[in-house]
Amino acid sequence: MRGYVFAVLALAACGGGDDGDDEPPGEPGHFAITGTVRYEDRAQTGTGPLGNITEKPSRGVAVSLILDSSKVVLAETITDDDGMYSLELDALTGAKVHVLVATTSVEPARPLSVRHALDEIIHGFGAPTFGLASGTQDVLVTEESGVAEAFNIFDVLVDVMDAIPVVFPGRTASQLDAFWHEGNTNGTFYFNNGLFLLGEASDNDGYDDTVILHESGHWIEEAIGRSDSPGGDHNGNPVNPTLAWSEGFSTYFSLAMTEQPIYSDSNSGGGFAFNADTSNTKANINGGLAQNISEDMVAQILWDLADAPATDDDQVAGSHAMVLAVEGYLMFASLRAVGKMGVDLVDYLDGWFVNYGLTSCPGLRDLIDIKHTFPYDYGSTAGACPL
Amino acid sequence: MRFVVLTLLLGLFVGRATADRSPRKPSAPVEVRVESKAVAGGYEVRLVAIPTRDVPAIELTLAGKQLAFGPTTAGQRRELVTTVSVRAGEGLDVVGSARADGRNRAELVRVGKVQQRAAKPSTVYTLRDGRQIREAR
Repeated sequence: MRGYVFAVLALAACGGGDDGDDEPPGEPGHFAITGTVRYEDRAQTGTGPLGNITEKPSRGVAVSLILDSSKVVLAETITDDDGMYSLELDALTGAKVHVLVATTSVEPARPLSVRHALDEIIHGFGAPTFGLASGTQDVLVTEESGVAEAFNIFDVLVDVMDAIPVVFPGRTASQLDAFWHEGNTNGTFYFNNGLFLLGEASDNDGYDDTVILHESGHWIEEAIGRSDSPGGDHNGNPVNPTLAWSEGFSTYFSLAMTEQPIYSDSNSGGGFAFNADTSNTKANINGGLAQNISEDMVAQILWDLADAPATDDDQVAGSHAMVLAVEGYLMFASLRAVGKMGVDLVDYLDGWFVNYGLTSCPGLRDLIDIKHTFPYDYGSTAGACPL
Repeated sequence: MRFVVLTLLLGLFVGRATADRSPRKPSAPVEVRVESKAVAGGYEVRLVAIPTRDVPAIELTLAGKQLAFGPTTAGQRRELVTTVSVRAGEGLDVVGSARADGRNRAELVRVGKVQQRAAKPSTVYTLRDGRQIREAR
């Protein structure tokens, strides 16, 4: 490897580069370059609009040292969870080089890339050129560069990857790609292990963490759990129970990952937000198990199953891990032939009782029957739920 | 040439069909569009909002101007029109937004001179394992 680097540098010094910036040959040496990679983020405010720019460490991104004259990669590594990196190489002193950071990881626990939505090339950011010498080279991915959102999307998805072995023991992360670029108008949706995210001026989802996580929830359904959703548009209106289930679960997943109950989506008109803990959407108590229901109600029920502070407004004391684990159970579960064909809220509630028994019956009856007036029949294979 | 055109059209169709059938992000129960036409001294801009279900109220915002409507049925058209001044040779981004049931949808239209954005210089690098990276600086 060392020989390769010297050969590349020697070629560059002899005019092998293509930018005409010939570098004087320096003395061979061993170099250590360290630094921290950060990116400019805009936090969600919980009301719709985004906050001011803040800097965050860029976790797990690829870091390369590039020889400017030949564009060859001299050394590679990744950042740790504080955004720090360390590169070591043998090369020629003073060679013109720069640090390239990129939204990609091939680590087994984080097989992840954020790519341009049209040509699928991975996003990267180049720091200023410097003459090769040991020292510190910090990198700040600026919003002005047009790729800070890509680094935010990557960082949000790192959280998703890291949650998988914790929430779903025995399961491992599979390859996930996100597709975004500044100006992307092709919608925000999930398809085939890919998150597709808007980047247009009127609606850019690059900093909308809960939107990114909502689409990640669909990936979790496909990779870890189950979905029979027909897909399509949805806006809180009562819809096909399988669509409502899938969308409500995905919204809940975004709230569980951020550990707060507010879903938020910014746009040029300010955006919107809703609170799944304080809002209460009802079903038709006489509408039967197959009735159209609201995705909002699904998200509210799941949030209430998980939250358990002393001042909680529901009687169920669960956890996000408990709620999400049932999604994993649904992948292999035999569904009852009630309601709509395909997995929906009824099947999830069946799974809750199968996994956790009947001790939560009083709390569930209050939450489902009284608060949301959904006519669940408590007919799971776990047995009859006492009144 | 016919093959190329057919392939492009097929690609567009498949891409759109994929987006239509795929799980999408939560949206507002209203469709919006912003139209513009040149008038003396500027542009008349029109925000058209059409709820996709019955809503108890709908609020329109266009270039800082606001207008609220009460109960509106699915498919009922609501409009807000305003005039924006744009100097000769200049342009302006105008945002229109409609909010219903606590959610909004926004559109942006450019009036006047179109903003010419110079393409940002970028270079594509190849990592040792073949991954391609487009570098912005």
